[in-house]
Amino acid sequence: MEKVYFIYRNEFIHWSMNKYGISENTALDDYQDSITILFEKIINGSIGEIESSLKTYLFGIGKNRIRQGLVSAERKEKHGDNLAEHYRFLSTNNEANDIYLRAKEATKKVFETIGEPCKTILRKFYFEKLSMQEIASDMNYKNEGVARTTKKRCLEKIRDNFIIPA
Amino acid sequence: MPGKNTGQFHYTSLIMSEDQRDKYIHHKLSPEEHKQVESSMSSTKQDQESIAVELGVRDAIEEIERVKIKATVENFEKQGSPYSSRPVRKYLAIAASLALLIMAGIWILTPSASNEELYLAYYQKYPNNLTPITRSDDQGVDLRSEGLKNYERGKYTAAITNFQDYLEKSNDHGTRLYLGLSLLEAGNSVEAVNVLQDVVESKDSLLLEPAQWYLALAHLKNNNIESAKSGLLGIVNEKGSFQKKAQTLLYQL
Repeated sequence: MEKVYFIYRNEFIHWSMNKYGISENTALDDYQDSITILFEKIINGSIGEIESSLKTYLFGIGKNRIRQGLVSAERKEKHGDNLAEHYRFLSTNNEANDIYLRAKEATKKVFETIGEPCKTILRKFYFEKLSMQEIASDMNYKNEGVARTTKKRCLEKIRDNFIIPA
Repeated sequence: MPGKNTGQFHYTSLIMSEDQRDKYIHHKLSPEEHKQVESSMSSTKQDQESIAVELGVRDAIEEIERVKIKATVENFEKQGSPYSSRPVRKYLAIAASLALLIMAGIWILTPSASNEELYLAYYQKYPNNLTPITRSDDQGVDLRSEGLKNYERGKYTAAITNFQDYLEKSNDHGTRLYLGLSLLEAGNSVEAVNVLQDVVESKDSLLLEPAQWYLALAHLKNNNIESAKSGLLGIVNEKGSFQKKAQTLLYQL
């Protein structure tokens, strides 16, 4: 991974500086953001079906990032927009949206200390986007049902950390 | 929505199968299916509530993990490239690499990517999963434990010596697997093939999957593509935990 980072680093920076007239520091920030997105996509398998080269894909992400002039805070905002777009019930139902925000906040507080197997199973499901069958196999559970029950208990642990408004 | 936390929280949908629900959370349904679920869900408060919780959990974990990746990436920059003449703080660079080794690698490279690039993209250090042996009367046990410690610390030459000494007196396939992995880490992929092949042939069910996977990678490193393909095909057919990675790598070869 480290090698991949350095393979494309200089080329990306020169390319983006020349093509978009941005500073070296901005180009480096964009590169780091782009490669972060790339690694995230690799982990959750969402580039599994793309048949272009890794470099083309990485530069594609970079192009979009530079064009949109996104910075960290704006990315969060954009992510929120995507969420509302994809999960319309959250944008149309205040109660559901409130629960969403509370669950998110509670998870941020407790995730690192939630303990095993919860940390691993929740990470595998929500971040790596593995199916429950794949998780059962990875974590040596007897079957998918056991994995599912474990995940449910872990969600309950998070659920105990916030209150649903009356 | 219920007004307070009373009793069991429901994660079983009234309108969706578990599989469909998982795909909805993962945003993997087709646009039509997604819309269908959304519209049918609007009348089911229980589903709205439990899915809102799961989306909150999902997005929080995504943010947490994204920050970790970004930190690792920034760390690469701070250490400088080990592939140029810039100064490198090697151990920190290794630590940063290790942090990324947790990434399951479905790695798409151009079909013209070299075998070395593919090897680098797919290779991840295998963790020490061997159960410690606690017999105190066996001097060999110390060699094995020492070898595993050296393996974990990245001292592969020392680990190889420990494992080889231990295996002179004991035919332990688990140790043999880590000898093969240490050889691979130390860059001796030719010898690693011989050792890993022995582990595969032992058919030890607990060791077979990693042995097959790393044997295929060792063949790839040696530019022995036909053997790598044949090994990967076996992994794909057996549907173990390396199946997905093997399938993608096979596609690239």
